[in-house]
Amino acid sequence: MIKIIISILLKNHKNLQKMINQLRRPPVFVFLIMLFIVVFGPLLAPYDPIEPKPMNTLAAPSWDHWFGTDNYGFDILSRVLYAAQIDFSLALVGVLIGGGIGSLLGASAAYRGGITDFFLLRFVEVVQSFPVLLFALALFAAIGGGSRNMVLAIAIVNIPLYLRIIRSSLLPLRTAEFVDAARCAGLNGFIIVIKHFIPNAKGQIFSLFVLSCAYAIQIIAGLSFIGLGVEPPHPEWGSMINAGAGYIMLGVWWPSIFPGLAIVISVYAINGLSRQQMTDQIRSSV
Amino acid sequence: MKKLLEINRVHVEIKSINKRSVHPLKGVDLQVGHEETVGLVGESGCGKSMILRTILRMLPHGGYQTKGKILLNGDRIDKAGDKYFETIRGRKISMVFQDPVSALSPLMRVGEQISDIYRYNVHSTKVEAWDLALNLLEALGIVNPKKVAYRYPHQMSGGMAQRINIAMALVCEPQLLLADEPTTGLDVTTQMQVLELLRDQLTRLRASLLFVSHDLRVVKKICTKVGVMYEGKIVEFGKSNEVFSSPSHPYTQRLLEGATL
Repeated sequence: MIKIIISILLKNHKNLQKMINQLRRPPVFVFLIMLFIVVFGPLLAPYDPIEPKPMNTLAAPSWDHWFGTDNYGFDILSRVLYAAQIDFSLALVGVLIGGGIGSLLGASAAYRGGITDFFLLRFVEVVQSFPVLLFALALFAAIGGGSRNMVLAIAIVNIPLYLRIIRSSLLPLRTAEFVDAARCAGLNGFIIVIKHFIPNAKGQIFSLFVLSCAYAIQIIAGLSFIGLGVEPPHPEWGSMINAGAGYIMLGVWWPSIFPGLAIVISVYAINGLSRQQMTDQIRSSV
Repeated sequence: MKKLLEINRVHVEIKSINKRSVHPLKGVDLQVGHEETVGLVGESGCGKSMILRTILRMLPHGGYQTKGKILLNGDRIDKAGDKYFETIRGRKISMVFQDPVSALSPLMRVGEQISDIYRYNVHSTKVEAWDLALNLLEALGIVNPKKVAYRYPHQMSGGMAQRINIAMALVCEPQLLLADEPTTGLDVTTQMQVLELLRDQLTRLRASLLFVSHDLRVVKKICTKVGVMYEGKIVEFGKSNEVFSSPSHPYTQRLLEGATL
């Protein structure tokens, strides 16, 4: 998928038909719409997302406010669109940091073996023995909430995931002859890990990256739902659900339902993309 | 004058947890002079490859040198620190492996693999290293080095891949080249081509060769001296024509009887 987009950008029109075929697949289609909203969301939003209108609180969906307004009079459509950018960028940065460190450590563990491997795996077991949300809560209790610490939490949660999978998929390379040859030729461990180990796990890293982005969005929404993470006036799907949760019993369903749908659709699209990537990989390798 | 490489009574032990430990080398003595070609012959499992691995500290997991010393130009290298030893690998001693295709990284273009070794050992620029790699490929008899350098290992024949391996081993101009049965995987005609090229390059660099093989014909053809190994020891060592014409040790005699030269 990504390869095809790049080749079209490079004016390789032979792949245009393939591109159209890709677009027929629902997750890819939905994902591209999501991507469009993430990039251009603030431009599409009809109102300022943090400008309250006290005269117009909890208004039902109408032509003026497609998704209605919430208890402060914020326009929910605008907030959902702005929140897309915040959620996706937090998830992306967190996963990139965590995944980068995790892959590097995983590849080093596979290369060095012995005591490095042992201690890194014990670290993985300790971190993974906590439920993710509980771990993030403990972290926030220690260093405080806010979006920067949210990114940190997501990074730390992702490190063991990548470490374990990349390590186990690269383990066979430890005894590979080309690694011995590279060492004999005088390359040091760091260069071997970067240039010989990591490229061999490209497929796994990419699939894992897509999956963990979806997971990270869930974590961010979950943490914001319980009032940690992104500070309240800023739009965020999880905290929007929380803000509207008290009114559902009164029949005011729109402040919670729309951000909830946004989470469901984006996680579905990302997971579907990952599945698509996986089947493509299997097909191309057969 | 000091010998290039001296190995004195080296013992190697490989420990394992649930089996008893193995002693592949039991006191090996070996000397390689400057601009000399030394062959090592012997049956499978007698420790030929283990000598090369001991010199470069590439012993398998659990293996270590228990006794003896290894000297390069009179300096002890078996006790040198790991950081210092990395400067020996590639720049002073390098190695060519048996299976040419699996000794190349499958996901890298071969030109990059050769130039990388020069780049990180000598700290040169990328362009400089790339040009050097192309020149070396041309010197190794590759017809279209610019095109070949952009290929991946699976797109090459065994003979071509072995030339790439030789280029990788020689790009930093080492003084000693270790070759672990470099021609076993090749057919007879390419075998001779590769050996000729190897010999030409070694004369150009004024480097020595330590050549492990069980192919007595090849050893007789290219080596000036030869050592015969049996059960972790070198049982006979001398000028190649003397050893082959009048073997003194009974094992060498039987080995020569078994081979058709």
